[in-house]
Amino acid sequence: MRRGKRLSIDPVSRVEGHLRVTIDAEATSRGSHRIVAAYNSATMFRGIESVLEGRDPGEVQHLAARVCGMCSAAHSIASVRAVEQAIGLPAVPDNARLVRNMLQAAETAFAHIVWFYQLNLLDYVDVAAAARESRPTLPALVRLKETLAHAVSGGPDVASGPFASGWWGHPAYLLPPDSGLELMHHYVEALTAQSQAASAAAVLGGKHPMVMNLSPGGLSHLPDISRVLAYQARMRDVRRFVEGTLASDLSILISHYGAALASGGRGHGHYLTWGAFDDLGQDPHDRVFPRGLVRADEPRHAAVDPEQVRVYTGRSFYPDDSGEGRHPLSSPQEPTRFRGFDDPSDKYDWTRAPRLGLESLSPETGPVAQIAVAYSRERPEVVGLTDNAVDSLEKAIGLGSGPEERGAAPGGLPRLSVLGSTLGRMVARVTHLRIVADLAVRWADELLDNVGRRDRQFFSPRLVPDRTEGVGACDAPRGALAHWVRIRRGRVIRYAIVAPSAWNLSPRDDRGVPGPLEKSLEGIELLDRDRPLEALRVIHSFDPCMGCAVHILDADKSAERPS
Amino acid sequence: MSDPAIAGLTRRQFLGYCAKLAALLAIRETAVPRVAEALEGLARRPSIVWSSFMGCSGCSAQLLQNSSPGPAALILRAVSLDYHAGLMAAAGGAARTALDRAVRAGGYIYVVEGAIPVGSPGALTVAGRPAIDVAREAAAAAEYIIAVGNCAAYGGIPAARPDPTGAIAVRDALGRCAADEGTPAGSVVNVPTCPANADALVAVLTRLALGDGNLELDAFGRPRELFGRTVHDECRRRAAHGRGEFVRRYGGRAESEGYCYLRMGCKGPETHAPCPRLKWNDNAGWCLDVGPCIGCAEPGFWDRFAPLSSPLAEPPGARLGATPPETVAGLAGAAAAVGVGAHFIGEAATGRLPWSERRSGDEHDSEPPP
Repeated sequence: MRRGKRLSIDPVSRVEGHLRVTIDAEATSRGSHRIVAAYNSATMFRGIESVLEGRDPGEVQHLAARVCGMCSAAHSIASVRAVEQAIGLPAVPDNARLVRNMLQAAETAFAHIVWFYQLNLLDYVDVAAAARESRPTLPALVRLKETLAHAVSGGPDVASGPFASGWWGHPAYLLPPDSGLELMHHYVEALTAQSQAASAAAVLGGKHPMVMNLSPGGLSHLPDISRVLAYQARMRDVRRFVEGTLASDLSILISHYGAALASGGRGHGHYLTWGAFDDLGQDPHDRVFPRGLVRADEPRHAAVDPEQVRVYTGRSFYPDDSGEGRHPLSSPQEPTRFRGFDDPSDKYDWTRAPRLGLESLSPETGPVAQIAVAYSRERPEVVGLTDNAVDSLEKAIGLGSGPEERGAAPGGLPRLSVLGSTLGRMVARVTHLRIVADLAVRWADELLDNVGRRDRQFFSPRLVPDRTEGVGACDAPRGALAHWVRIRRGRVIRYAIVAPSAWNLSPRDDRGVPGPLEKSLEGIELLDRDRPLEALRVIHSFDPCMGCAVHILDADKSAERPS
Repeated sequence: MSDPAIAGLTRRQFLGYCAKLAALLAIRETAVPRVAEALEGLARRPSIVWSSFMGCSGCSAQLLQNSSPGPAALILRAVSLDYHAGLMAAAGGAARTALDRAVRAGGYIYVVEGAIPVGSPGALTVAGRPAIDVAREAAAAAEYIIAVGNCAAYGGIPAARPDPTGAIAVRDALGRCAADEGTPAGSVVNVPTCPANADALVAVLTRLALGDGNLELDAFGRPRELFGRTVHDECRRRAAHGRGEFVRRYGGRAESEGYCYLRMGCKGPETHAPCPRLKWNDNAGWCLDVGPCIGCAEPGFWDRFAPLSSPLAEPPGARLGATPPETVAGLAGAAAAVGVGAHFIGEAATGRLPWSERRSGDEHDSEPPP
């Protein structure tokens, strides 16, 4: 196989957690390089599931939340759902459903806003050029220009700052400096907007990250009217920012980068979501964003079940599983000796490779998947905004692009094909954010209605059975999240998590099939091999969350420690 | 939200910021102008080098939730954020270069988020280097070191049983002296809770930036001004505790009537933290508004207070403040023994309260009247 020159990005900055990406690139006739293979490695292993073993089912939501500081409420919710299924509680009181939806909506807004500006934007705005060449007239922008200049190259009271040492001047930066300054102005405003969203979650949950109001069975607290109104006021502000500022910033990026980014960065064309946000009936197959799988080769979504998940370890730092994938709860495993990340032809990742179904699909997950399945099921909240987003994207990149140029993904839904790209992921995430910010405000109204009708139920007690197990499968902001729990004599004896970034940043499986990010990086052209900015854009379009990705499935407590 | 002046604080905002800091640090109000003057007189902004090790980035997420001076002013104006892999533009080799440059210049405040897996160095590497190597190098050139969050301060969840990677606290990993034997300069300033509270962190950063090496630390390395009192002492449900009014199950009216969460597993009586005063997320709320305290400011709380949903067991003959760290592991067993087998979730175990500071009145077994 062609290998070309190998390079690695370590650390990949502006992601949650610790990520290394190794790239093989070969020279093109134009003097650039093209990626022929890519390998992602999570460089941290914590083993939280083994910490969860032996715990009381009434406390695991607190430990599970600590999997991820960006999406702690999502992990708490998946955890209480797993325990609820185990103790035979298919539904919680409606107030608890609404508060959980509202928590997750606020957290999603927080995560997506931070992603758009703080994590992703610097791949598209040359901050040094904006600080040097923009010509602002508004006083606020004049001050901002100076602030940015100091954060790039120092100033009278500062030597450097967070924008020092970026790959400034890279030929793939296409945004004019004045637009760049405007977007950085919104970067600053977004720091306020994200804190509004996080504080909306804290109004209900006591703090964020790590909300404190969840328990299997419902909630430990029912917010009063003033709290619901405080939540709603914050989410209205957030919605205003998203609609008024963030959505138009996306349009600016599309108009300058549409042609360059709308075709590349495609994965396998399969998309998975467990569904997000319970509807009135609390049916896990019929959520506001419904559960489903969109395959590259089928015209409609398919039903899917968490029991179809298998996990492979051939390329991860765990003992080989002789090519047989294992159910997340079923087989004892322990870490094997850590061998470093230098040889991706061997084991190269602390993340395992989750695969789906008999064909061992490696689906992508996240907003594209949620929107594709909801669109396929004709959810009114989703169809209109998605049509608008797809239309504007296709318009910006030119209507001439035929299906063969668009590629196959999301395969069964040619209408949404454009969402399968690097830019498509960004558009889908923003569309998701717009839908969720609006739903948050509406759920607050529903909760006010309930409380106004003196419906004060928020908890259903259940006895913990002697032997039981359950799964809580629901999407986090970054995609499909599932927690499995097995309980014996009132204690958790086994716990397993397969998080969104385990799917998206999966390593190769035992057959050598790459994960979605690895696949998406193949074929990307790098104008400057030593500064692989174009690769960074593909990586950030997935919004990687590495703390989530790495989980051992079951630790034998006497296991040899990775050394 | 549309405030365009974020790029620089106005004078009024700045004084408000100083007043809030003074309040947090128990500085008299008359001293606020001096704090302001001192901050303005800094010739250089304090340089911050931030390492995220074995954690969840929750403390980084909290950093962006500080109420004063606000996240934008903090990271772009108040300090020089010279290395933070979660926020910095540079990636890969350029990021490593940025760290090298900061270390060469020295004199920064080194903030560490997350524990350090010394038992399994391969469990966390940055650019191929084990976390402990990165930490030692960056700590050697730092003026002060802050361990932010329970993981960095005490090992947190990575160090909870069975401690899968041999993760330990920053102070232990660096071999620094115990806090009560030295000044912040010779030790590590711990700002625990999970995540760390952004306002507590900013207060400590400011104090250290002003060169205040006299910040008084308790036996667990925490600034006394912030962590000197228990959550229970300052809890708004404290009066209900005195009246014997306890929440005994979730779902009733007791919690909204301000009843005490002690029976539901609240660790407030043994948890030293400023949460009742600081609150969280720009005053949006705090844990006891919505449920029991889990004790996240304390060393070893995941094990020592387990199960978190069960009432505190009274440690044999000891209150926490006097408990040396070595005995913490031993106490864990005592607390865990309270846990029972088959039981209800969300209802207090029957029987008398094991933890008994209860002095007055009878427990009210009934719900408050509707």
